[in-house]
Amino acid sequence: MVDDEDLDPRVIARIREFSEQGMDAFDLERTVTAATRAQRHSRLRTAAVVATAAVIVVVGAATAGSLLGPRLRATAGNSPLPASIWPTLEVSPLPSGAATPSGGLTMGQAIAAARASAPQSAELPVTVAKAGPAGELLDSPEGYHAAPGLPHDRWVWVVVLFDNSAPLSGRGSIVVIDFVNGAVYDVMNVIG
Amino acid sequence: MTELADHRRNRARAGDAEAFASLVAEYGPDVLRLCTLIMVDRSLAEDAAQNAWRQAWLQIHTVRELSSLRPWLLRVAANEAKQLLRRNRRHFAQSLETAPVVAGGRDPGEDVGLGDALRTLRPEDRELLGMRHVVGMNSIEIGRLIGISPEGVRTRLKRIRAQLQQELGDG
Repeated sequence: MVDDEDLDPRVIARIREFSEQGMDAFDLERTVTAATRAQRHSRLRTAAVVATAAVIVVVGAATAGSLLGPRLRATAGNSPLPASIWPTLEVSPLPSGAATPSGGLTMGQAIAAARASAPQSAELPVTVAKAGPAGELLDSPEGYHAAPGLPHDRWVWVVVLFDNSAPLSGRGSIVVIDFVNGAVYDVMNVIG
Repeated sequence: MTELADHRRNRARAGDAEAFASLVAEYGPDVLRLCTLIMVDRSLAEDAAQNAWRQAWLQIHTVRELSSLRPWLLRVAANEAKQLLRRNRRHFAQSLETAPVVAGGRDPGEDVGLGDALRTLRPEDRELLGMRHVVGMNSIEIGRLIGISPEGVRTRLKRIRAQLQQELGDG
């Protein structure tokens, strides 16, 4: 059964015309600015708030020890932080059963590449530094949805530079980098 | 839906303001049109649409199916419009308590404009009318969105259209 059109076409036209009356006031920029001013309780912001201090410690440890040091193998065992903090961190252990590609960027190199690729966020703290297959880091419902089209088994670094110092909003960049050759696949500038 | 559009929607879900802006550009006119019909007031419609986009920004990460983004946005807009109407009605009712009583009504020869005719409908009815005739959804899509059968949508639309025609003096 199709929708009945038992309304006079002239009335339908008047309804459409009526609904058009405010269109000249539609201001895209103002609408977006006002909407995005609201604090968003997104995964990104939550991760940023929770993880900032702890990841800085990890990055600091990696930097102090060796920039070529523990690529994501920084776990609770070699961290000065209480173990209870670690499950909330966005620095992931290597996925179980996944074979790490040989060679590849260290965390320090990945962060340096991220800063170079996102100059507007270069000075911001690192809140996330994860490596793993693109299919696990990017495409999951809670993933970053960046760099579409990458093969799922391609290993990447995801580095998030994020400023959450403002009480109601933050800004930053998500950078996706090839784990092996350092190619930058995507830079997403985000606010949260 | 193109891969590019999917990409943009995904970015908007992840908090990319630029991608969100492109959604506002794409769906903003429909959101405002729908709000205008529900509110029957241009400036209030702008407020409702703005509230809707704010809600969309806050909640868009909860939308799992990219294909349902447009109906979801329109639903958010309709809800915001109805909510604003309720708030305004309460405010108006409070104002009337202290206002002087004014006798009168429409002049006998007054042309009943579409706006007046629309105001005689319930907001929910204007929502349905708008979804069908302003943003062009069919009864299946509307039914899925508001949780009633397509037949139920058609029956309600038939009643609403008859009432509107009558109010317009064409019935």
